Amino acid sequence: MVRRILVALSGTPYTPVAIRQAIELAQRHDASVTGVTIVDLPALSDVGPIPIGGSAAAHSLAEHRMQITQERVEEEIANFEKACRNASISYAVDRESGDPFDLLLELWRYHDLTIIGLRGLFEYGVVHHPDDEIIRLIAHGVRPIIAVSHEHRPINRVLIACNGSPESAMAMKRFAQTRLWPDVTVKIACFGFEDDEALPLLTNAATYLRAHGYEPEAESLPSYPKEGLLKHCREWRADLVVLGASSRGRIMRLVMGETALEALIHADVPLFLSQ
Amino acid sequence: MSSQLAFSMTETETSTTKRRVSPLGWLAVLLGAALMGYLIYYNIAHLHEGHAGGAHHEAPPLWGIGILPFIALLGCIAILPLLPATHHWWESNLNRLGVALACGGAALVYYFFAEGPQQILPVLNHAVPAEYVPFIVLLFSLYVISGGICLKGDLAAHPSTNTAFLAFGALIASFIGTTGASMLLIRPLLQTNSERKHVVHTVVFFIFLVSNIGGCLLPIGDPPLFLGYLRGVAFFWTFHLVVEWAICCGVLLVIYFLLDTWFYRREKPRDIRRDETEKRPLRVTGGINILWLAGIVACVATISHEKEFLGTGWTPFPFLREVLMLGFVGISLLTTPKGAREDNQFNYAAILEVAALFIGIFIAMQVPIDVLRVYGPNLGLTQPWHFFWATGSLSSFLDNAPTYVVFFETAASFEETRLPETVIREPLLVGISLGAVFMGAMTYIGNGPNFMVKAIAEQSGVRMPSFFGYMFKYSIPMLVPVFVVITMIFLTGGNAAHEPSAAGGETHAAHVESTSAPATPAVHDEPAAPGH
Repeated sequence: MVRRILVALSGTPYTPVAIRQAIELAQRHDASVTGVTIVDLPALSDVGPIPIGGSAAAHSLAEHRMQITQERVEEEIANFEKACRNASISYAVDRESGDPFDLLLELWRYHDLTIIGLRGLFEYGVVHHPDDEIIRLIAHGVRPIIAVSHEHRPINRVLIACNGSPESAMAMKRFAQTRLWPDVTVKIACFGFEDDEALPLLTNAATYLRAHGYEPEAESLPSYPKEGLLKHCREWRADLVVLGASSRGRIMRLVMGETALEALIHADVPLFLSQ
Repeated sequence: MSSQLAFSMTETETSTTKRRVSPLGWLAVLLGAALMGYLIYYNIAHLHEGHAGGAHHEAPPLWGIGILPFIALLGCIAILPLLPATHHWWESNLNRLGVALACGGAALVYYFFAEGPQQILPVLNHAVPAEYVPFIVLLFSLYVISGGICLKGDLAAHPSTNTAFLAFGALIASFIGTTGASMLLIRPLLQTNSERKHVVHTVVFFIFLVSNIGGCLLPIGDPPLFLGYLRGVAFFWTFHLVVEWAICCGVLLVIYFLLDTWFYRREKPRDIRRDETEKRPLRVTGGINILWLAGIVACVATISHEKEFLGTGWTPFPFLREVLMLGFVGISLLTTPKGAREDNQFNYAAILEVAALFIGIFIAMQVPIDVLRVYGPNLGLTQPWHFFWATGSLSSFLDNAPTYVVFFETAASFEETRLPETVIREPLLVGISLGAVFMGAMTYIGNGPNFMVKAIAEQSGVRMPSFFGYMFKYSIPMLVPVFVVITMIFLTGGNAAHEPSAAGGETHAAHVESTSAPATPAVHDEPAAPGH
């Protein structure tokens, strides 16, 4: 059951979609929505190394960034409040400043679901975060997360990626338990497995989902997850992909290559993430 | 270089300037002024004792300790602004001055114990009146006068227009300084490109060409070249670099033009239409300052207490050049329309920061210079390209003025005797000069204006790359190949360090033509050289 939804008013092109998604879910589940803005003070004041004589310019730049951020924070809050009032839902606004990770970790404890943009984290057009920051969030324990793409789409078809790992099982269970969209078409897919390996995985997953009121399709696909998942979610026209996030560190990902999750993030596919 | 001239008023600086000075502060100011006055008197009194010179056969004793203040000061400049605990503390110029004087003082304490109390005054004399004063007065003059010129307008941002902007900037940078040229042109260039979406590459090439490479033709173009001038390099010697300058600028302008044409075709038609309709002609206010800048150039080129003034038989008295330059500053302040500096968001914070830190750098730098005079030949740097890449690599990350001096002294250590009319061998000086000026463009901290341009661009809405993004996306792939070509064409050849040298010979860079500083004094020669 979802009663409290946290939505990141993060100053990116994804934010309007995140707000809309949060409001739709709040209306469906009679939940309240908390819109949070976080001014990333360390990132704003970090203008990098400064040459001799550059301190005034650095100070001025940091002040400018702060001013722009504050203006955009007010803009985001105004848009959020207006959307919530129009939808007649219960809402709250939380203005924070500090490290986004620490603050989200703290706020997440008292919310059932976090909705955020796929890329960018409290940037407000000023601070730049790596595209895969959301993976770090998951690894730090903020879950489940719905990561929205830059275009809103109604959730009618949900693809659950299954690879037998605890992470993917956890993501599927969280999706089933929260029953955010009870009437959607669900498909379980596993990638790169032999049929005899895939069959028990798919059967067990389907059984679990049926117990929670879903009637899933199931399919085993020969391609590897990184290529196959993205391709299949396009072919099957998935509105949302349920995925277990690996907690592999950034250096390991750099060494071992992009994961399926990163491929989906870069391809702007909406995700339901857990671990 | 270091003289980051960010003409931006911030609350901190404003409040700093308005802060009341305590009685202790006034006492410190009075003591400082008295000491400075005495050092200038000492400099004048010892003016005619001849040049110090000669090879150095011994390094100062325990020099490993003696160079620590210099390393510590550079470390403080690099690290203290980045540490959360010291970030705000370091914003005060008074605190910076305290650190600089502490490091300079530590170097003097080293001299006191290593070489005796008689060394203190000669070291201070060389560091402060002979080098620091002319250096800071020149920077201050260029800073204030060029800050009074304001260029406004919004042209159609065609690739040819942008390229012309950059070419003009590269052309004038040597005459008004890289910082002055950057300040003059960056805002109208950003305004011109305000309707376009792809602007980052334009700002990056502006940093390459206007804030750095353009400034290598005159000693006033980039501060390290002025330090070379103070050490005896002839004023017009830097014009010898015109071919390297032209090739480097030409190649980069062609690359820029092609790149900007490519980006221009990717702009949205709506933005191009806006760009074509929202135009304002360029308009200069404070143009009278061009005259005062010409006065500065004339002062530096012609006035020296060491030579007759334009063959008139009259030798100017010491510090006349500095007095005249400050006079031009005064005239500029009186004659510039009020709005010009306001439009440039001019303030004195940046030059005060430079002044506060460089006094410590010039004093603490004396020990490494003495060491390099002895151990310079052991560093393995013999070829011009060695000096080009070594000076350039350090100039990319450290201030290029002290870096230039360090490698200048290393090259000078190849000379058996330091004669008054010789400086260092020309091929090596070419490598050092090009390295210090050109490779300042490699990072945002390689030269003061780089960071200032980045800051102004970001405040105008251009999303500039990060420190490493700038290096890996732009400076390394675009500049390094050009520098390799420059190396292959101009800087490879015989072993320049071991070429026979003759006073005034062709292999020597320049002849002392105009300098307020005694030629680099020899601290460790017997008998002790005048001035040290």
